[in-house]
Amino acid sequence: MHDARPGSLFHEALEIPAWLEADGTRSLTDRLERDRSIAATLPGSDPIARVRHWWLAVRRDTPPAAPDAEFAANLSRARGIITFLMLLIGALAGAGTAAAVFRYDGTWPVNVVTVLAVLAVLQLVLIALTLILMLPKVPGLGALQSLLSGLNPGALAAALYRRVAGRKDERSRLLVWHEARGPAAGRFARWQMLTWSQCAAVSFNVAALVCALVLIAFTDLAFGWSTTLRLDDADVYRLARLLAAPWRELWPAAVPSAELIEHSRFFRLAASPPSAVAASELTGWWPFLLAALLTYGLLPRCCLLLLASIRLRAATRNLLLDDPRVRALLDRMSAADVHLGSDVKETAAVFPDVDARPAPAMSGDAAVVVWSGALPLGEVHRWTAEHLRWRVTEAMAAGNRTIAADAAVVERIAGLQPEALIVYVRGWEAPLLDLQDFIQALRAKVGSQCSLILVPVGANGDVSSESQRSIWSRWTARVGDPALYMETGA
Amino acid sequence: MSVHPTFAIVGHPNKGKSSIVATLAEDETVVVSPDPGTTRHARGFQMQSDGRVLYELVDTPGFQRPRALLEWLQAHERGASERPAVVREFVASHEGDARFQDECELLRPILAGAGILYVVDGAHPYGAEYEAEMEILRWTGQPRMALINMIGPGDHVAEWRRALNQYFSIVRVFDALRADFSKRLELLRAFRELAEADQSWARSLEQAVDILQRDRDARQRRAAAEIADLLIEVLSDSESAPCPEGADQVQLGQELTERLRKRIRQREHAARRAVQELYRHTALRLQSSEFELLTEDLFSERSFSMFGLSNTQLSMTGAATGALTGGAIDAAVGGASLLLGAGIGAIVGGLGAMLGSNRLAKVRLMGSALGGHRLIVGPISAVNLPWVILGRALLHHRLVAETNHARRESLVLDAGAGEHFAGSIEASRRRHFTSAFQLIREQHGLSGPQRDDLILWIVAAMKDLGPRSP
Repeated sequence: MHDARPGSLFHEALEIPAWLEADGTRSLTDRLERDRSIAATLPGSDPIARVRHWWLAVRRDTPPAAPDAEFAANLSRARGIITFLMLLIGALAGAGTAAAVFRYDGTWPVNVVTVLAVLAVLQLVLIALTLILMLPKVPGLGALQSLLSGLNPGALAAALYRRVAGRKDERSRLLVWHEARGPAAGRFARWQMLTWSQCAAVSFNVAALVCALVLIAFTDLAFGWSTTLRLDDADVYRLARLLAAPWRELWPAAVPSAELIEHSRFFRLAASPPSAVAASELTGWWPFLLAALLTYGLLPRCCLLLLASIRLRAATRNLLLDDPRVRALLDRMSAADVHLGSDVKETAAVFPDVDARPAPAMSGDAAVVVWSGALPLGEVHRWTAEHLRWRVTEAMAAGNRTIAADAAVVERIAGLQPEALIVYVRGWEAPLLDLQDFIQALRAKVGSQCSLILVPVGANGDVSSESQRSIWSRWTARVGDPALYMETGA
Repeated sequence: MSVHPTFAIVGHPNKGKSSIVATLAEDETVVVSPDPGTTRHARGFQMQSDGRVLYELVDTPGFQRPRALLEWLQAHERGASERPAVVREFVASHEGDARFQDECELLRPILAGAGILYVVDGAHPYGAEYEAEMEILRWTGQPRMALINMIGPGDHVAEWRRALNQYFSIVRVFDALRADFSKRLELLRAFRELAEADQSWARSLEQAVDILQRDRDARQRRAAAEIADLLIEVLSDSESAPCPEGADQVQLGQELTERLRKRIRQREHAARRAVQELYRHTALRLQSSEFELLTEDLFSERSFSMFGLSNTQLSMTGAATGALTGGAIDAAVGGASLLLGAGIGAIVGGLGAMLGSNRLAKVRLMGSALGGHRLIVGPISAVNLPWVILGRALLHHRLVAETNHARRESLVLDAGAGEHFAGSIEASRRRHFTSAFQLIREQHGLSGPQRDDLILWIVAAMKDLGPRSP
């Protein structure tokens, strides 16, 4: 059964266009019929929901080709693995960094300035750079965005994946920003990269926070502050209050007092670390540091991760909806139901491609019948002399009036006992069974020895055209009379 | 009368009955044969919308023994009011009679209530033998229209009209092989006149015309989408291959360029197939002898001169697009630049288009962040190529959209195509195309809304370039 959960949208954004590409070999009529009938059963108008429901319906009958399904599954898996790796790397880096900055061997206290520089200020700088990356392409910032994206851990992970996986499929470029083709793919790759980097950053902060808490809870840390900068206690107090402004009301204990700042300053040039008397006060910094880490590290990263995830989701929707094959599908799903054509199978007659034989002799006396006014009777002698070598003994008209009149013509010809009978017909008209009846009636009266020669005449008394002759020749052969011939006069 | 409008297409054999059906039903599978008697049985072709039949055409065999039939009817005549009943008796008494199989087949739908469309050939002279057929149709008492089809170069329309007017209330000339879409709609409107006695028939036919028009517009938009996707893919496409140390870059570049050319040709071919399928012309072939312009190689000089823009048009379009971009800067600074932006933009755009590379695509050697090099050919940089592709696609579309389904031979291009086909697109629209081409190159594609805009411009260009006036 197909998994239509929202989490598999990326998987479908890969699978559906590939399936539609292969589906393009089916006739448009079939596709229109299928897609329209599925669409008729779908509620709502959200295009993504419609496409996904359509997919659910269609793949029951025609599952995706194995390589496409496998590729989509592999790329989805790769995406998951990279996400996990980013979380792991972030967590390890966070724990390692926290362990390093909170390192206390019982001599010199943990320097609050170092902790703030690494876990708050540096993070704020990185967040600012991330925000630059999140901006749409701005003239002048392109080079900086390009440089930053090259250094982004998410981009590096994707590039490494592509290198290791060595995939030739264009779609594997989706995970690498600089290789993604087209606006939709580019947007997806950018937000994918940012989502990964924010996953790593959130993981980094959580791990740093947990590590700091563990160290605070299970070891006896001492904090102090020391800097080469020319800052006095009042400056540091002001700075600390400024940094603590976001939580000052919520957590007053996490705001360092002036006394704490005054007492916890130390100089490494001093002969010995601060005295043990001040140790209890020296530990008073930790709520401030945890609050700073939460406020300037974890919280903005969580916000960025949320933003990146929302944008990634939108980019994944676009990835699916901007695909021309998917747009064509949506168009088919909403196409008007117009059907032209027949449900009855064509049962056209197929005739053998056999031509009539020419008359065996082309001289002597012949009677003439002009069928359906093919020639004026007065023209018969001239036309016959000009185009054929027969001598006309008598000319009669048939096919114009009643069948009884035709029968009288047949009787009259029978009385003449001709060796040959020429029948002029209108070359531009199709031969009818009406004429065939007349020929058969003639044959019955004149006997099998008499040559019957059909001569199709063109309009205005010209010889018939090649295409007209061809139609008459095949028809003459089909009548099946061994002494029925065709001449053209050409 | 029938529940839905039904018209039986009847007449002498080989007068284009099946061609008319093929044209109106857009069905290229209808057998159109020069041999008389090819159509053996009556065959209905319906137009349906949302499962409802709006009208039906019935293709029938031609009359084979009209004089014998008429003599039978006359022999059984009981007065004018009984004539339809006598026709019915004829059909009933000749069921299974091989001699009158064709006549029974063609009369049966008429007796079931179909209107009559009697087809004759106006390119050849009138003949008295047709009178038996017309008289039989008059005996049926059904509404009748005569269609003068033109099979060949002759003109005997006036002669035919004089005869047909005596038997038919409506006489129309309809060239089944050359009728374009508007002519087909015109004919359907004429059917409405024939059906005016029945209001439900008239309403159905009105709806059919309306739906067909909307369906036509939708097809045109879909064809434009195919052309837009062709342009997007071609202009953002590139070829690349690993380029190891010491490899012959020139040779590799040529190989990649050739591969790119081949893919573009295949893509153009696929787009043409899709457009033909949209218009239900899957069997249509563009044979080289008759249709050499569209079979001309995409990258040949002739293609560029026939379909692309001239150098002047390229420069003018480039200058106008540049001026537009520069003008935006002028507007942004509130005119403080004294229109310098527009002026510089026009010069840069014009010169850029004029001196732009004629090479198919740029060749670049790119290093990877993780080591190794790749030689990349693309995306397409030849300034005129998108215009050539667009010009060819628009001409192909015009011919496919105008060709009706009765044609069995290849498409034939008229001499009116002229030179620099894409240059016929209105100048202001050309600027939009230039901007779109530029965007595709920069972004390696277009976003959904940008693609929609391109489709709209292509639809507008389709209207600029066709249809041909009759």
